This record gives sequence, structure tokens and C-alpha cells, in this order.
Amino acid sequence: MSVTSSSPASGTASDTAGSLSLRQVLLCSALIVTVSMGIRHGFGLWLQPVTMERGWTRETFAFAMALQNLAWGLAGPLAGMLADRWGAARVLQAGGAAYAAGLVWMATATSGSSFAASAGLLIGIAQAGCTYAVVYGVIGRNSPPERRSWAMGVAAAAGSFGQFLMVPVENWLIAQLGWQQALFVLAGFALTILPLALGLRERPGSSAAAGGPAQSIGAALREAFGYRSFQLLMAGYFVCGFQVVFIGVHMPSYLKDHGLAPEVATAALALIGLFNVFGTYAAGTLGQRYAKRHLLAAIYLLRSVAIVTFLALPLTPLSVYVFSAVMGLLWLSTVPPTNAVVAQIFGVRYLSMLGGFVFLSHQIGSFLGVWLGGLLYDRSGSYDVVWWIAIALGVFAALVNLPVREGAIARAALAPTT
Amino acid sequence: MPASRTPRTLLRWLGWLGVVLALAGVFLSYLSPELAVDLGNRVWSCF
Repeated sequence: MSVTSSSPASGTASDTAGSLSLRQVLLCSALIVTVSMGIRHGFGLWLQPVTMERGWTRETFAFAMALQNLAWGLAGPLAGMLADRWGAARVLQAGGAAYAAGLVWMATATSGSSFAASAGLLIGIAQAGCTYAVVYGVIGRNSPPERRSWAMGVAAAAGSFGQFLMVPVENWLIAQLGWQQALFVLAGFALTILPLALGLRERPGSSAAAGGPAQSIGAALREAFGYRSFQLLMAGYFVCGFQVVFIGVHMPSYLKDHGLAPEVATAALALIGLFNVFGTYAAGTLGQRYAKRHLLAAIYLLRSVAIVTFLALPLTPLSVYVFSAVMGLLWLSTVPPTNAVVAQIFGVRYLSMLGGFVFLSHQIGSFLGVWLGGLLYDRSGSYDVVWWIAIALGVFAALVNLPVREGAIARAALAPTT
Repeated sequence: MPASRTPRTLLRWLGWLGVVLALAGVFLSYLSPELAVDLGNRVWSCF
């Protein structure tokens, strides 16, 4: 076998051969992720009413939520693969329908195993079908390379807005209707994904047409996993999941341990949500102008600096608010540049699948962030060790993103040996 | 074309104004006393 020619993965004319208008794609994508990311973000609010009414332990509820996060990550590559192969609209519709079914089942589950299967497994799989990885494939195929990072930033900002919006909405629904009825209403929200997905229905063959040279799924996977920059991106995204979920889950407990009022945690939650919207949009826009590896390194490094400063200063409501605002800016800001780099290197043909694998790494980090946070707290009696792990990981992620090569991978066209 | 650019610019500004108003509205809803206490208790009850 000898190498006879090579072709870049992206940046070619065919790379922008989308069949949909960017405005339509962004509108439908933004609404879909607003709903899909928003619904799940407030699930913690159901802990008290569900466990009280069903007589379950908190562990039952926590297990279902942990399972949901793992299922979301594990099903991501498969959902992405199906979306790249059969079209994102079908996967989104199946995801939306499964999301609604999972919410109804969650409301009516009367045993711990049934709750784990619905709120954990089914909703986790459904999320894989209707969140970033699937939607980014369509955005990637229908946006020109020079606007792709920005477009991904718009969708990420919409998902962030959904998270920000739905917490008070879900709290209000539980208070007004009761926890079961509130879940039925959310199921109705999830069903809106079905008609919205029609707006992302691509022309048959769009994926292949937009992706450059023909390549099988297996070849695409071997290429990606054998490419050092993809491994480095996955390592960085692992850290993102660890830090964000550790802080999101354990910070209220940390504040409570230090004697701060519940309202401080609520305001912190609001500030993280608000600044997250600005941060994700800004990261997408900046990714269009600056090297994304530098942007990612800066985000991870700034997270570490923010945590060190937060720990070094006396803990007051003001320090919590400032930390929350800064962390909010850096919260999901890694999402647009990470996915845009994947598209830049490998092209957009298998963007959803490769994005799904990168996201799996994120979810493993998330799982460890929650689990180690609890484990090390129980062992040492404080969060200090986990905070320092989060700081060290931030520095590590900054360093591993620096050598990422953003240029399109050169694909060798193989020919028989003469 | 200044004639067509003006409505487009106006629409863009209106769009941004809508975004800012939506964000401000949601943020203020977090700070309303009833919701802050209710939400705080629910968040606290997780730990």
C-alpha cells in the first residue's frame, strides 16, 4: 500500500454544502436545546417531594440521577452515529418522544427500580438524542467554517438560557401543581422537540456531501482515536465535566457548612446561570477570531485561578457572588470551541458521533466530580482535597489543550502497492 | 443601502433588547423573596 494523495477534512467548498438556511438551523436548534437542557437542569428540585411521597431514601433518587448522567454520556456516541447516518431530525424526534415518555414514567414510578429505569436510564438516553452532540452535527453541516464557532456559541447560549430559565419555572410548577403534574407539564414541553426537529431535516445525503472524502464509521473512529489532538481534547473535556458538576452539586453543601444562608446559594445559582449565557456566546464568538486551543487553555486556567482566589479569600456572600459570576462565564464556555475544533480537524460528516465521544469523556469527569466530592468529603471531613484536585486538573487541562493542532487532518488516499 | 440597513439595524437592536429583557426578567425571578426562600429550601434539602 502506498500513499498517493491526501485531502483535508474541512475547509473545502464541500464542507459548507448544507441544505438548510443557517437562520432556520439556529432558531430550531436553540429552541430544542433550550427545552432539552432546561428540563433536566431542575431535577434536583424533585428530590424532596418524590422521596417524601414515595418513602424512598435519597440514595434511590441520587442513583437515578447518576445513572441518567452516565446513560446520557454512554448513549451520546450511538445517538451521534445514528444522527450522522440517518439524519439528526429522526434522532431528535425519537429523543423528544423518549424524553416525554420518561418524564411521564418518572411521575408514575412507584418502585426504586422503576424510577431508576425512567428518570435514570430512559431520560439519560433521550437526552443523548436531543442535546448538543446531535444538534451540533446539523449546525456544523449548515454553517460555513468562518461562522461555525459563533453558530455553536449561539446554540450553547440557548441551552444555557434553558438551564437558567427552567429552574424557577420548575420550582413554580411544583409549588402550583404538585410534583407529579409538574412532570406531566414538562413532558408536554419535551414533545415540542418533535415539530422543532422538522426544521433540522436535512436533504438525504447531506452528511456525506458535507463531509469531504468518503470514510466509513470505523475508519473515522480509528482516525480520531489515533490522533493525538483528539485525545487531548477528550482529556480537557473530562476536566470540564469534573469541575462543573463538582461545583454545581457540592457548592450548596460547602456554603451550608460555612454557615451561609440558603438565599446565598439561590443567588449563586442565578448568577452562574446568567453569566453562563454570556460566557457560552462569548466563547463561540471569540473562537471565530482566536485560536480555539488558546481559548480553551485560558478558560481552564482561569477556572483554576478563580477557585484558588475563592478559597484564599474570606468566605462572604460577596465572595460567593463574584466567584459564581466568574465561574458562570467559564461554565459551559468550553462547549463551542471544543466541538468547533473537532469539526475543524475531522470535518462535519461524523461530527455528531465524534462530539458524542468527546462528551462521553465529559460525563465520566462529571460522574467522578460528584462521586469523589462526596467520597473525599466523607473521608476527610471537608471539600479541601477535592477543591485542590479541581485546581490541579484545571492547570492540566490548560496544558493539554495548548499543543492541540487545529488544522484539518490530512487524509491519505490509499492505493494498491505497485 | 442606508434605507434597508436602518430597519435591519433596528431589528438587531430590538433583538438584543429582547434578550437582555428576558435575561433580566429571569434573573429577577430568582431574587423575588418567595421564590428565593422556596428555591433555597429545596436546594438546601438536597444536602
